[in-house]
Amino acid sequence: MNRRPWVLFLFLILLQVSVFNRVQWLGIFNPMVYAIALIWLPISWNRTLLMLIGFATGWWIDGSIQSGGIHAMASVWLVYYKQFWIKFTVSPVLLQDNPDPDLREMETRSLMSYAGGLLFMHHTILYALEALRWSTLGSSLLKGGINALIVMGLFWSLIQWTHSLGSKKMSDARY
Amino acid sequence: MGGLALWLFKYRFLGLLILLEAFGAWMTFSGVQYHHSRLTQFQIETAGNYQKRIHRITRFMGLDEENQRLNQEITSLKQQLSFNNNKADSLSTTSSDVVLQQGLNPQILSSLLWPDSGILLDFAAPARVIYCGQGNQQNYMLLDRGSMHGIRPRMAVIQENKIVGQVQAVSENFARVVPLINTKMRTSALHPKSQTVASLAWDGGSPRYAELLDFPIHIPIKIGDSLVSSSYSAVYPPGLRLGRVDRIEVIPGAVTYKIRVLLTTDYNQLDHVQIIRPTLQVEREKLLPVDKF
Repeated sequence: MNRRPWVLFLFLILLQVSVFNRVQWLGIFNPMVYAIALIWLPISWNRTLLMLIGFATGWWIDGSIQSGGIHAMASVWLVYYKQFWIKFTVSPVLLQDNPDPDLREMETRSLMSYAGGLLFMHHTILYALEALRWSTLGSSLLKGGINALIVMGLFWSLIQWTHSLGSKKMSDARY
Repeated sequence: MGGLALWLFKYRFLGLLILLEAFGAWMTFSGVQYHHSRLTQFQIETAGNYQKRIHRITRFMGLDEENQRLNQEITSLKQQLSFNNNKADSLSTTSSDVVLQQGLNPQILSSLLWPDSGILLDFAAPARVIYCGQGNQQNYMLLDRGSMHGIRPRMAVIQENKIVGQVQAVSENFARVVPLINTKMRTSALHPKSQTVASLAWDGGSPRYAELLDFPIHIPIKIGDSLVSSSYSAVYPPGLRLGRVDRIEVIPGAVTYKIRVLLTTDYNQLDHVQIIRPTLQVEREKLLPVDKF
């Protein structure tokens, strides 16, 4: 896992607050890219600290858009649950070798199910809390799925970009 | 003790999750108007559904008394209709039976309750009481009508010409009413004989009695005098019955009486009520600071 995630963490939160919070296209497209930052945080860190970081991140987002505590609730759930979710989605062999695998080195399938599943859960919980009606649970699921796909696309691009940066550094060092 | 500590240590992350989620929920429900309102609606809807089931069972027990009361009400409405000959154009073609069967017409109800006074209603609907709390300081009632029937907060709830309370919040199918027997409720009361206005409040004791506050000692008042709603209230039209003076105490040195009032509404026997809104209430309230109840 990335050992210094703070730059990316702060960048994604600022991106969320300044750009993506203003995206409300058709009432459906409202991606929460800051969730990437929470997924990116190393699992090996102290779990209590991770949960407090998750809560503080969500609280900050909530404060920026006056949404009470719904982002804080969804973020805490994401950080809490990713410890369990990784066991279902990532190969046990890989976890045995490295219990805190680098997301950039994961198999595509594992990455998609791990990060995609967490993003879907986070977005669905968030939109369900936002609407707070049983009758809109279906549309919350749909909205969660669509926005999780968008954020997953961005996540995938980010991983490809960091890959290309890494290989460029290696080739520069060689020459 | 050691076992408990181990157990707590084992589930510390789950405990932290619950704690943080609860804090997030508190921030949401206390800070965001929409979520606060949704929570209130959920509470009313849940309580309403539960109380409606209980009411279906218990209403059979009081069916005889209720039928008797309805018959009396129909008879009195018929008598009032027959006396109102000057309103004949609209009323002669509508018998009181039709009024009761088809729901309430605001114009007809206002002409029955306030003949020739010019007071008009822009909304009137019948409802049934499915729950009426009496054992607490802040009692409330639930009615089986809600926003889908046109009920809105701050509408008045009456039984014939007696004040019951006012609508505080509504869900789709139910309405929560703050009755006179709620310690936070203050109602403007008029003493018609002296044309003096005072405040009627419930002290949290017997649901049959309330207190009339701030009635000046130099104004004559007698036991048995009636009290009605005053024109100061934007929720209740003036002239609705509140109660009768039951006991008057003079406190040495005080400039006001201590007056006990026997309430006209008997909250033990409430079933059918009417929900009304005076014409221009909304416009009037825009100009006045709105009290919570």
